[in-house]
Amino acid sequence: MARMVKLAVFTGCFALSKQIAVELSTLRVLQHLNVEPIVPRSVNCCGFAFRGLYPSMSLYLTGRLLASLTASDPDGILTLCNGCYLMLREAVHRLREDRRLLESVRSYLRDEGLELRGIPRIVHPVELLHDIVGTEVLKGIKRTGDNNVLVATHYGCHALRPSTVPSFDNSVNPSKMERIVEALGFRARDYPERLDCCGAVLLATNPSLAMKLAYSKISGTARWGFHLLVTTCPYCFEMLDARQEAVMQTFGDEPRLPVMLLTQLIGLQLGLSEGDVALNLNLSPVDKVLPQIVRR
Amino acid sequence: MVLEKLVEVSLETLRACYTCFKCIGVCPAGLRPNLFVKAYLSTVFRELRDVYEEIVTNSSLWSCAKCLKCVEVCPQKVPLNDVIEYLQREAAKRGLAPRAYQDMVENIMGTFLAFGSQTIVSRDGDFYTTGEARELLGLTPLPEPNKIEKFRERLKGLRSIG
Amino acid sequence: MEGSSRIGVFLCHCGTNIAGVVDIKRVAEEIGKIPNVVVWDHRFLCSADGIDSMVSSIRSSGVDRVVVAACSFRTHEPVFQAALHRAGLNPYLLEIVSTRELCSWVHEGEKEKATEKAIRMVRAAIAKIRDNRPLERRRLPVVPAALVVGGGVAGIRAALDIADSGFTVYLIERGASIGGNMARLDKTFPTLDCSICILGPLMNAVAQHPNIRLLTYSEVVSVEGRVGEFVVKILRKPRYIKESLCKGCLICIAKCPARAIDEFNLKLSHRKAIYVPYPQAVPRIPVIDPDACLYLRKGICRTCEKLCPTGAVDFAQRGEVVEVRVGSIIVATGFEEYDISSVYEYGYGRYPNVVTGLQLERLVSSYGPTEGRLTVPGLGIEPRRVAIINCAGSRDERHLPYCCRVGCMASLKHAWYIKHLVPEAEVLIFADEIRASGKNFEEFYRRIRLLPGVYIVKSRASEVRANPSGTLSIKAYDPVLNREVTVEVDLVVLEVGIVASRSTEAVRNILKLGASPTGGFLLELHPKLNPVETAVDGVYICGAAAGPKDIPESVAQASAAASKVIALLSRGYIEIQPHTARVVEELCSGCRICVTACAYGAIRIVERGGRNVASVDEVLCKGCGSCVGSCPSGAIEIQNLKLSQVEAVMSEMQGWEPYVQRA
Repeated sequence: MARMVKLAVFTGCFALSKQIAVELSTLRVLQHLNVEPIVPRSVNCCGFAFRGLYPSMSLYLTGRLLASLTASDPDGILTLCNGCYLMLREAVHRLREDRRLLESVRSYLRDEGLELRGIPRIVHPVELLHDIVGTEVLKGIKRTGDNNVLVATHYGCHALRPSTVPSFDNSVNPSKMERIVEALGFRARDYPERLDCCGAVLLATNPSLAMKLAYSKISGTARWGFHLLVTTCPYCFEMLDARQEAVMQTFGDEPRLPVMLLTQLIGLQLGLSEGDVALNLNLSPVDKVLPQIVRR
Repeated sequence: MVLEKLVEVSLETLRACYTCFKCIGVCPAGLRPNLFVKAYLSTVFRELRDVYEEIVTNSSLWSCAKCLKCVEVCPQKVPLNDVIEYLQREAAKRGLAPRAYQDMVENIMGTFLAFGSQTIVSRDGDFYTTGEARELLGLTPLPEPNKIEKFRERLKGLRSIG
Repeated sequence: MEGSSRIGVFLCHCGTNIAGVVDIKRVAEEIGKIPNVVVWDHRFLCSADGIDSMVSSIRSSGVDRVVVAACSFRTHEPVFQAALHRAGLNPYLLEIVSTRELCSWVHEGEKEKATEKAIRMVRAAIAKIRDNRPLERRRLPVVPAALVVGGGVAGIRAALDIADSGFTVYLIERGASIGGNMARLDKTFPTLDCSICILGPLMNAVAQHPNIRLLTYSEVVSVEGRVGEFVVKILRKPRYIKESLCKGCLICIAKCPARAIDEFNLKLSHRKAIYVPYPQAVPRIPVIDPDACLYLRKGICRTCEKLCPTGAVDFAQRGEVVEVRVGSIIVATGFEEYDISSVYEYGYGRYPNVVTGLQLERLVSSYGPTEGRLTVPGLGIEPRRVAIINCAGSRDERHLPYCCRVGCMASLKHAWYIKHLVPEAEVLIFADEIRASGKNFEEFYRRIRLLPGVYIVKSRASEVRANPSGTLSIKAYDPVLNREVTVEVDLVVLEVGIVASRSTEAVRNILKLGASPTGGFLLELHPKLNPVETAVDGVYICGAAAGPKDIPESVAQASAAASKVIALLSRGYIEIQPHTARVVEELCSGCRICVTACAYGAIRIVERGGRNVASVDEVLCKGCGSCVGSCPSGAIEIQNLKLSQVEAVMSEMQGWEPYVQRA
C-alpha cells in the first residue's frame, strides 16, 4: 500500500454546528482507508454565503482559511461541504492565475501573523474516495449489502459547477460517485434530476423557495424507484434528509426516500455500527433500506 | 495593493448574451437570469434606467439559489452569476440586502464561524445542543474565538468596501 | 415495324417512394398480359446496378423499345437514354412514365387507385411507343463570344472568367461606370475589408482585358436567335463625350455650373451635370446628364467643351445601336433597395434622418457626401445615438415576404461603422432575430455584441416618430425586459429589403425569362440542380438579380455561370433535341396561322416548288405543339408525338378497366 495520505480536513460551519454526522462518519471511515486526517482547530467561515455581496471579504476569509489549513503542511485540504469546496477551489484557481491577487491576500494575512506558503490541492470527498483511496480499495471491502439496492447519487451544485473552475469530475456528466457506489456493490444509474439543486442556499433568504427546490429534487428522484439517495454535502443533506418530512408535508405526499451520507454508507459496509456513523441523526426513513444494506 | 480592487469582476462579456433564453428554462428558482444581464446592459439608455431600478429593488434578485446551472448551459459563456452578484451588491448599497447575511457576518466576527450552536434532533426524537452532540459522539468542541480582535477589524474594514 | 416491335417495360420501386404506394407486382402482372411485352422490376433502377441490369435485359431479350416507369423524365431521362444507347437502341425509342410524381406522391392515401393509374399510364406509354421512330440529335455551331449584362461584381467576375479562358466578352452596363452596388459599400462583412479596395482591381482588370469589350452607358434593346447564336442589339446612350478622345483628366467637371441629384450617393448629395459617378469609376470617362446640362436644356454654357484639352465633348452625339453576335448570355443585373417609403411607419421620406443601409454606406464612405465624417442628414451633427432597424420591408407579407439575406450582417457592420466613427455613440439594433449563417458570420455577430454601447433589442421596431427637436423616437417592445421601450435617437438606419434592379425586368422581357412572384428575381431552371441555368437555353443568371445574396455568393454564382458559358463555348457546338415540329408540306396551305401561334418565332413561310409552305427552325422549336393545334390542315406534327400516338394514349387511359371488382 502507498504511503499514508495526510489531509487537512475542513469541516465547515454548517457541518460543525448542525450536520455533525458528516465529520463523524468521514473521520471514522478514513481510519480504515489509509488516510491521515488532520483537523485544525483554528478555522473560519469560508465566506460562501456572501461571496457576491462582499467579494473581497470572502476572498480574505478563504485565503485565511487556506493559510490555517496548510499550517501543518498536508498533502491537500479535504473539504466536507460543497460550499467550502467551491470557495476553496475557486480561490486556489484565482490565486494561481493572478499573482498580484495572491500577493495582496498574503499581505493581509501577514498582518494577522498568518502565512500562505503554497497553494494546496483542494480535495472533495468523492475525489478522495475515487481518486486517492481508489475504487479498487472500496471493492476490497467485504460486502454485506444486497446488490440490488438502487442508489441515487447527488453531487450537489458546487461540487461540479461552474466548469470554468477546475473540479474533480465532468460538470455535466460526472461518474465518480456512481463508480464508488458500484464499487461498494450497489447499483447506480443516471437520472434526470441527478444534478438538480437542493435549494439550501436559499434557506436564509427565501426558505419557502428553498423547500420547493428540495421538493422538486426529492420527488423527481423518488419517481425513478431508487431505494436510497446518497450525498456528501451537509447542506444538501440538510435539505434532502433533515427537511424531507417538512418538504413532503408542504408540497406533496409521495413516499419518503431514505437519504444517507456517502461516508455513512461506506462506514456501514466497513462494518461500523450505526452509532459510529451517527445514523440516528438521519431523519429520513433509513430504517426502510437498512436491512438490505447491512446483513448481520 | 488593495484586495477590493483586484476582486472586481469584469462584466464586459455579458454583452455576448444573445437572448436565447436557455438560462430561463434551467433556473430552478423560476428566475429570468438573462433579464439581469439586459437590465445591467440597458442602463446606458436613460429611457431604460427604470428597468434597472426595478431589478435592483426587486426581491427576486435574492431568490437565486446559486446553483450555477444558467452559467453552465449558456451558449455564450455569459457569467450570469457575476451579474446577479453585482446587482445584489448594488441593492446592498441601498440597504436592501436580506438581514440574514448581516447576521452571518456578525457571527463570524464573534466566533470565526457563520453559525453558533444549533439544536440537533435524532430520529428517535431526542434533542441536543451542538456541543452536547459533538461531545457525545467524541468530536472536538467548536473552535474557540481566541485572538479574534484583529480579524474582526479586518472584516469590518472589508465589509465597508464590499 | 410497329406491329412486330417487342417492348421492354422496366418498373422501378424507387425504394418505398413508388413501391410504398403502387403495387408493383400487380402492375407487372397486368402489363405482362399484353402481347410482345416483357416486364422487369428493380428496387432502384437508376442505380448503377439498376442500369447495368437494364442494359443486359434489353440485350438478352431482344426488345426494340423501352418503357420505364420510374421518376420524372425531367430528372431521369438522360440516365435512361444513355442506358438505351449502351444497349444498342436509339435513345428516342424510350418512354418514361412518372409513377413517382404522378402516382405514388400524389395519391399516397389511395394505393389501389394509384396502382390502377400506374397500369393505365404504362399501357398508354406502350401504345404510344409502338409508333416512335428513331430520332437523331442535330449539332449546330456556337459563336465563340458571350454577352454579360450588368457590370456589378457578379457581371465583372463572370466577364473576367470567360475572358480569361480566351473568349470574347461583351460586358454591358447601364450606368456610366461598372462596379454596381458593391462600389457604394464602405466595407464588407464579416471581415470589414474596404469594399472598393477589393473591387477596384477587378474593375481595372475589366477595363484592360484584351478579350472584354466594355460597353457602359448602354442597354440591351433586343435579342434574337438561339443558344449558340444570339443576335443582340445594344443601345449606346449618348455620353456627349467621345470615348476615344477622352483622357480622363476630368477638368471638364470642375467648372460645370449645373447641379443634379447624385444617384450614386443615393440622393444624399449633388453632382455636376457633367460627371463621373465616383473617383474610382471605370471607365474614367465623364457623362453629360442631358436633364441637367445647361447647354442641352437651354442652349447656353458649353463650359466643359471649352475646357476639354482633347476636344472630346460632343454635344451632337446621338444614341447608337450596335449589334453583336454571341453564343451565350449571362444576366447579372443586380439588385436595388425596396422603396421603403411605402413602409410608412418607419418614416423614410418623411424624416431626413431616416436613411437606408446603402445610404449609410455612402454617409460613412471616404468618397461619400461627407468624405467619411458621419453626419446626420437634416441635423448636421454627429449622431449621439443611432437606431438600426432590421427587416425593413422584408419578411413582411405586406411588402416583401422573403429575407434579404444581407440585412442582418449589414446591421452589425453598420453598428461597427458608427462605433468606429463616433466611439461614444450608442447603437440600438432592432431585430427579432439575427441570421448569421455564413462563414464567420456568427463570430462577427458576437464581436459586435461585445462592443460597449451596442444594445440589441430582440424585436422589430414598431414605429419611428419625429420629435420637434429633429430627433426621432423608436417605439418597440423588448421581450427580454418584457416591456415597451421608447428610445430617442438622432439617426435611424433601415436595413431595407432588396428587389431585383429596375433594369432586370426589361432584360427579362427581352430574353423571355421567368421571374419570382415577388421581388422580380430571375427564375432559375431548377432551384437546386440548375441554379444558374434558365428555361432559355444558353442564357444564364447570377448575382442578386437571381435572388437575394451577399458578395461571396454572387461571385461564386458568377463563376458558376461563367463556367457554364465556357463549357458551351469551348465545346463549340450545341446538340438540339429532335422532338420538334415537322411540316408535312403536301398538306400545308401556307396560311401562316402557325407562324403567329409559335411563341418562339421558330416558323417561317418559305417557298417550295412555287408554293408557300411553313418551315420550322429546329433549333428554335421547343416542340410545344402550339402549331399542331393551330393548323387547320393537320399539316404539322411533333416527332414521336403524332396525333395517332396521342389518340392511342388517350384511348388506353380511358379504355382499360381493372379486373378487380370494386365495392
